[in-house]
Amino acid sequence: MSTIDDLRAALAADAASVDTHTDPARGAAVHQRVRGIRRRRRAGAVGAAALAAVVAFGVVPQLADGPGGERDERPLVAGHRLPGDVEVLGFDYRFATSVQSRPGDERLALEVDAADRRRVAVLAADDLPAGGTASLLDVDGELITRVVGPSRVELPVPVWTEPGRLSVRVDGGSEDTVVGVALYERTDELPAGLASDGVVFRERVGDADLVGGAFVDPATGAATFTVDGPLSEITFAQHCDSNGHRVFTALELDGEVVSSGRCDDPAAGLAEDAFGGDLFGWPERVGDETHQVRIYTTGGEVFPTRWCRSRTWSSGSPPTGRPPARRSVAPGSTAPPRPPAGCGSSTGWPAGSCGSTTTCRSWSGSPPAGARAPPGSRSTRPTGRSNPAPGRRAA
Amino acid sequence: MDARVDFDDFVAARSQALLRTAYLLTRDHGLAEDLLQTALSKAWFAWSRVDGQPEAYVRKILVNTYASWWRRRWNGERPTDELPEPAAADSTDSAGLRHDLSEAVGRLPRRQRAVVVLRYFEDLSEAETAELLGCSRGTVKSQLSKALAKLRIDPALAEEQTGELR
Repeated sequence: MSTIDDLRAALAADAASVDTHTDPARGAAVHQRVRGIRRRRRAGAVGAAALAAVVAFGVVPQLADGPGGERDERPLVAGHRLPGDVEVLGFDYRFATSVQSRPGDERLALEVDAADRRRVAVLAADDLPAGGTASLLDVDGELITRVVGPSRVELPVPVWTEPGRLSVRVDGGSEDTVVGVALYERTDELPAGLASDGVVFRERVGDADLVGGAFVDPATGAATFTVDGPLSEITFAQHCDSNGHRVFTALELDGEVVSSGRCDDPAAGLAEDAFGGDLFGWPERVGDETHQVRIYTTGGEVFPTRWCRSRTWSSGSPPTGRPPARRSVAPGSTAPPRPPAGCGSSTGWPAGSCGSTTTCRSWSGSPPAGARAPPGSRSTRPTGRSNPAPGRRAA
Repeated sequence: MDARVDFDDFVAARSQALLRTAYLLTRDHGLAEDLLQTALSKAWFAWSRVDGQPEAYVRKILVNTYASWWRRRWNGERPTDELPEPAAADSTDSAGLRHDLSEAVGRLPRRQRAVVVLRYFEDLSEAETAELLGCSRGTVKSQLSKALAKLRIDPALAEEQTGELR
């Protein structure tokens, strides 16, 4: 029996067969169509103008380059009108410079200066025959990104901040093929999230939402926060910048030190993304709970107490097959390191202290409670690089 | 509109919803993407003139492009010596019924299909549908009436239908 409700259900079911995720290439594809339309209109306009010149002094119609005919300042690179600003992982980048080849050239080089902020490059190609490729290479000839014909614009890709040469190699191009590279530099804008002193734990990372976090208070060298939910769904990230000092960080979870290690400073100019390092979690732990998280810094030794006990994968194998993190916690200055590859004898970890049931009660430093960093050695710009595993730390 | 809606943001945010409409109209994922991109390309050139609801504007372009498109494009029909065997209908299987209904909707003339999609998927009123299609409410009503009548007598629904589509 068919009713209007059945019809609605059938339409809804049909519509549901369409992927829920927007095709990221659609925008570029639409712009490519727009360029084609403009080219055809220009050709038509030129023909019309030539005809008008014969018949009378006609006016060639003005063609719009941007939406709605407004003049915009987006760079024209290899026949493509690129955006003036691009967003990568929530961070905004503004157009800095571009270069493009002459038609038919198989090589293109762009010398880049040192930069104190992150950069991304956009590779574009026009009139690239189907099957032809344009490859963006770094100074060592390593592939950064590639355009495969026909003509298109690739998504932005990060490039280094050191001076060097970006080059583009065209394979299978035609005498009309033009390639170009546009460079964009980070703006001062930070994405939404937990921010401090130019560093941000982004509100959203992949499919995970920020559910808690804190930056260490410079006055106390510590911070606490609460997070709700099962640990199996929570991922931790750490950012630590010691400004070159010998600083150690520790993380307590529900009163238990679960991670500690030396501060691993991020590279200059790359510190703003606190989630830029490894993420870390306890996928095997279940149960809805409220968790107290405490982070603190110290200038003394690390505190490996019971670190191993909290992990069933402390044998050295990273957790695999872990479901995607749905939520993230951003402890400002600590994030548990990767599982120890050899469980720490070279790092001074007590022998036999690893294993899912072993209690590691040995201390290699002063107790964490009340631990404080000495003046000048405290992390005041907690970040997102996770510390190396204890075993690797000593290497 | 307080500020011009950024075209790229719009494409990123809303084009997938429009793609569903395009798919219901074309019943082909590739053609739906083609139709959507064609509509978006047309919308680009008039973006600054879009007032208030860009999605409604693009949907209007999309539906009207679809309506005119079909007149000049191959509609996918293939000649064959033998008609394919239709799947046996299972009146107890709601999924089968939906499939048959979908197939039947796909056999509607393009204007009637557009009216059905706009009324029963987009939930537009008769007035809104008429506005979008650039016709009168009376035309919408008659097109919808004809569409439902066709669905009632569609062979795929013959087992199920008892004149309930109304």
